[in-house]
Amino acid sequence: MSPQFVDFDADGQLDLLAGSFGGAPYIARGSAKGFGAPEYLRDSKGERLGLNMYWDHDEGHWTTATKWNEPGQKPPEGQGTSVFAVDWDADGDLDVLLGDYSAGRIYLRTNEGTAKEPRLSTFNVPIRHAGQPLVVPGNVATVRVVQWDGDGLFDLLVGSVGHGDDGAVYVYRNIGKVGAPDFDAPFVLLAPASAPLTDVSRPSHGLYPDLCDLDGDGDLDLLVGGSTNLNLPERELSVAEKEQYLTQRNRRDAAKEATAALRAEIDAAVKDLPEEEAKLRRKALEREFAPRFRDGARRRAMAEISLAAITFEPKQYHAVFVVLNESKR
Amino acid sequence: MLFGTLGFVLAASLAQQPTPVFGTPERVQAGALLAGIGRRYPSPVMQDVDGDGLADLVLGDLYGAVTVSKRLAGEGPPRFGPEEPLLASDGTELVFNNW
Repeated sequence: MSPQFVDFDADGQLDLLAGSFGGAPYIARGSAKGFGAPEYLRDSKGERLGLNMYWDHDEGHWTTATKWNEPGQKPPEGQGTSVFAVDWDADGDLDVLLGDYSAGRIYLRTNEGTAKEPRLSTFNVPIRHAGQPLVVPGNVATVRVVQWDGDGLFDLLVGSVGHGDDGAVYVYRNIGKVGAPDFDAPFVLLAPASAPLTDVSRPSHGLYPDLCDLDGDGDLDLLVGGSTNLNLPERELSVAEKEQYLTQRNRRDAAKEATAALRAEIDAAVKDLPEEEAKLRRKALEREFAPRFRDGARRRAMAEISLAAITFEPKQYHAVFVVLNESKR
Repeated sequence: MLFGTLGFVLAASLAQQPTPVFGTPERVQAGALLAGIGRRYPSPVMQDVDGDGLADLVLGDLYGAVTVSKRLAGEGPPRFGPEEPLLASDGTELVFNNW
């Protein structure tokens, strides 16, 4: 997801950008009253953004597309799960980067409008290095723009997904010019784990980093979330553990049933309608029901079972870590 | 919980910068709990959400939820409050579509 607070349309209010696993970036527009409901981030034709694989909300399945490919190019199947806005070409407005979860590329959507009226280009241009598309080892969990070396050029901070347990954090130093970025070979900020993990000592899969001066010593520290994939033998639960686990699982199941009931309600409302009308009605109802699908209690129940799972069946442990830069000590 | 003392080099050298030396990764505490616990793929970003001049810990996650752990005032290592949902302008929890 990797949220970014940014004034995307130069109206003086911070907006919130976020990627999604379904392959669409979203924006919650800020106002004096706060953030509005998240909506698709759209291109100059009003279409959602995406790479060439995404979840089709109208049809309810994964789908592929070539319409957003750079003309004349056939990129590998990509899933755009992260987004970051930056003035890539130094023309005074914000362009958009999309990170590729499944093939490791980073794509650019240029803003062809203005700072106040963004009009994002309709196709994905891969960021290139030495004439070839830049490919992040282990693919892209998220991409951010940072000032790493203070040379006045922005650099890229990338957390990789990892193939299994080898997720890592990289910095790509910008060795180009203002308005014409180019990048050096990746600099490893947090290397892949060297062996299967048996404790929660670091994240190893799906790394989501940010850099900031956490301890106030004037240099950048690393904050990174993700999953620690544990390699531990299974164990028998105690009676009390089983009871707690089952209680939480039952609450999770109740939350799932509530979701299924909402879906059944929609199905019933559209079942007798002609196909096209049913599709439109379904879409409208999904929008109407969205707050109920996103109900906080349901989300917490799902989180509880995740908590029980990591307590009693430790395989993946999701956590946030700080890694302090101790260069000045 | 937040700070480690065993330093080791995680990174190679930069041409224009001294070799950065990083400490050991340490779990971040948010209130009484560890940050991100019970969530999936927490994605942190530091942002001053409440306008007190201190960057707060904002966490997104795979399910589309966004929480804020406010940085607590005071000297010494940064401390964060519990994870609280980031609210939209209508008072509901701000949740992004994940799918």
